[in-house]
Amino acid sequence: MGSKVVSVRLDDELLKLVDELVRLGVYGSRSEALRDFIRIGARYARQIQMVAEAVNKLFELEKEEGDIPVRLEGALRQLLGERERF
Amino acid sequence: MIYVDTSVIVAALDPTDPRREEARKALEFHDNKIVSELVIAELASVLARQYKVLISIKDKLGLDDHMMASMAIILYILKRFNLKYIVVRGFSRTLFGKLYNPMRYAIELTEGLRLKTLDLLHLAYIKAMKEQGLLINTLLTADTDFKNVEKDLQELLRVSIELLTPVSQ
Repeated sequence: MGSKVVSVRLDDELLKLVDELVRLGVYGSRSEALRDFIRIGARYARQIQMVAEAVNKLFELEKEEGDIPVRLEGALRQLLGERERF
Repeated sequence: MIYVDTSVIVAALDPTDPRREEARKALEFHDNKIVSELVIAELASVLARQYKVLISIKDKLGLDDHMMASMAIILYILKRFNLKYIVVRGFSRTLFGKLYNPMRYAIELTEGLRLKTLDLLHLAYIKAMKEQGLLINTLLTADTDFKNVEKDLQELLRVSIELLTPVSQ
């Protein structure tokens, strides 16, 4: 897998955190720290992408089934009952 | 602008409830509908207890876990019924120390209203949103307790109640 150099502008606070983690030996360099930050961010972004695709699938399911595909039997009685107890 | 209580959204999704059709019509008929983070939290809680439904939808959607399924369902519902989530901001200094504004308003509202905590919190969110400049004039709900204090709500918050009633009534 190839790699490319990308220039990014960071605010002082984030750069301070990166440098602190490098100083503490958590990362060997700024590049290594930022690569890891981006990997963590990308995992989260993939989850967001999956949820967004799932929302579209729910609209497709509604078309196929001719009704909202979320059926919560007895849920309102439960919700209002909980408010009584809260 | 209409603040939509969780009960209306749940009613629209509950095939066993006689208010379902009215809830759907109300959600589809009205424009400018808003919800708070409390509505989202209550929806997540309702979904968590409908575990079989959640797992079935998770599998249909090919998701890894039920939390993602829950998030997808809530986002779908918000989009489906054109409900806008409003972020409430701000803290206040009180005798208790620093308090999130909706909590502060909930405490203040107890002076004029005798309501259960969650009902009070929804009203506190309405007050907080109004303080942020939103022109909320109606609370859409299936919870009769709000209707019982409608006169007080008109005076305190300038909000009227639109209550769903079962079709059979």
